[in-house]
Amino acid sequence: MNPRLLIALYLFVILLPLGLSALGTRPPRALSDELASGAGMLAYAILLAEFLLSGRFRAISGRIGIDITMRFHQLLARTAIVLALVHPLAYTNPSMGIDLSAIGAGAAAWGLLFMLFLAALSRDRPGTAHETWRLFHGLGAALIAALLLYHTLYAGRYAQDPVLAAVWIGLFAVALASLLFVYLLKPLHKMRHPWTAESIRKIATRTWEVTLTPQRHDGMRYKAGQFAWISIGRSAISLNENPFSIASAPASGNKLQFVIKELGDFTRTLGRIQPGTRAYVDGPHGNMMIDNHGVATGIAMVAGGVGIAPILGILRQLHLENDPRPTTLLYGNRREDQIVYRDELDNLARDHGTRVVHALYEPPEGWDGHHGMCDAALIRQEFDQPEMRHWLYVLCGPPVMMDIAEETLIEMGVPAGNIISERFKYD
Amino acid sequence: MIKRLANLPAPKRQRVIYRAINLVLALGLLAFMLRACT
Repeated sequence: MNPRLLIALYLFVILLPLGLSALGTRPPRALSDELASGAGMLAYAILLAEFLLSGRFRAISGRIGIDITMRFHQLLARTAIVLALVHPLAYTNPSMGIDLSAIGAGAAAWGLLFMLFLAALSRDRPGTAHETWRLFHGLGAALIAALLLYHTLYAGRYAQDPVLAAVWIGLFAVALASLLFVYLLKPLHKMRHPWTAESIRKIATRTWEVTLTPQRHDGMRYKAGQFAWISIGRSAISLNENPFSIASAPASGNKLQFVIKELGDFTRTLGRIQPGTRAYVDGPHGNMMIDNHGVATGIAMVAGGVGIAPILGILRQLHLENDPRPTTLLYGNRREDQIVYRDELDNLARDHGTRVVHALYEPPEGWDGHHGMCDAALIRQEFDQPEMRHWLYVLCGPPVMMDIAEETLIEMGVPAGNIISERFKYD
Repeated sequence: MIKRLANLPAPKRQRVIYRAINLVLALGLLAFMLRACT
């Protein structure tokens, strides 16, 4: 879906309850009471829409990117929290003449919402089990939404209007359906399309290559540069799955190859996974694809560390398709032993004509590549030529590297629309 | 303005869009309050 249309649709849905409420005629109240009602309605509408911004819906994240979808999920949650805080505090007499059970439901949802918000803020802390957090986040949000529906229908002044009540019930149903889709239908689909971990091998320091083979099905249709959520050695309903970029090219067959760096609980256990272990894949996701940029006269890629994974998929696909456009890869690592697929990159340079520039932050003695990271100076040195302003730039790596690369390219006159990237760190 | 926005780096563009969404929501809330009070 077009991003502008998506924003317009989002605003329409969020403002719809307020608009319907404003249409009715009721005795006037104090301004602060109306602020409380309005803030409550906005907070609840934002909360219900958050279910659709969970990043698993391709109609939404397929066009704008899962990283941006998740970023807005987080940012809008902050807006909802502020509005939820205002809602009970702004009433001049909050419980006057209202069903106490409805007030209790609202108060319980209010407390739970703050717990959910705090848990989300601390989800990356060491010792936080991702699976537990996801379960708490999903089910907690569903419980809050249900409590708030009860609160809205029985304590809400404006929800006494049957049209508005129907809108709230409809929005709640959509939110609940989206949760069931992610927690029930997707696992069922995965169960019917299992994969096998064909090989797991170490390819560089703390970096592994994982190859998955489809089991009794044709595999997955994807585009080079996309990613998938995978779980290995767990059940299809397990919430313990992780997003990894696909490093294989669609044109190379139905096996999926991932390049994974040891960063968390799951990735540290990769070395213990036995070949033949069952795996499940949810994907493809992401929109870091070059297909939408067919008019670009060349393709430049900037990869930092394990950010090489999707870029490798793109390079492999371009080579297999005999794409005639010139390609350049800037590949930054801290040390030489972190470079992956060096021989293959050399072969791509020889057979496909890809210009490969290695950058090392801690180079060994005698290193003849670039000293330092993929910084502004290197980007200017390699790409600051008039004809390269019409190239497509694909960025994947640490956030700092991507910020520098993007800002430098825009300063050089490259249109932002010619820069594609995907981030997995949002804060 | 939209052209300038489209040419901002992605994180800055997202911040601007987020602020614009908040502004529209705040204006919607204000309009609702004024309509309800009168």
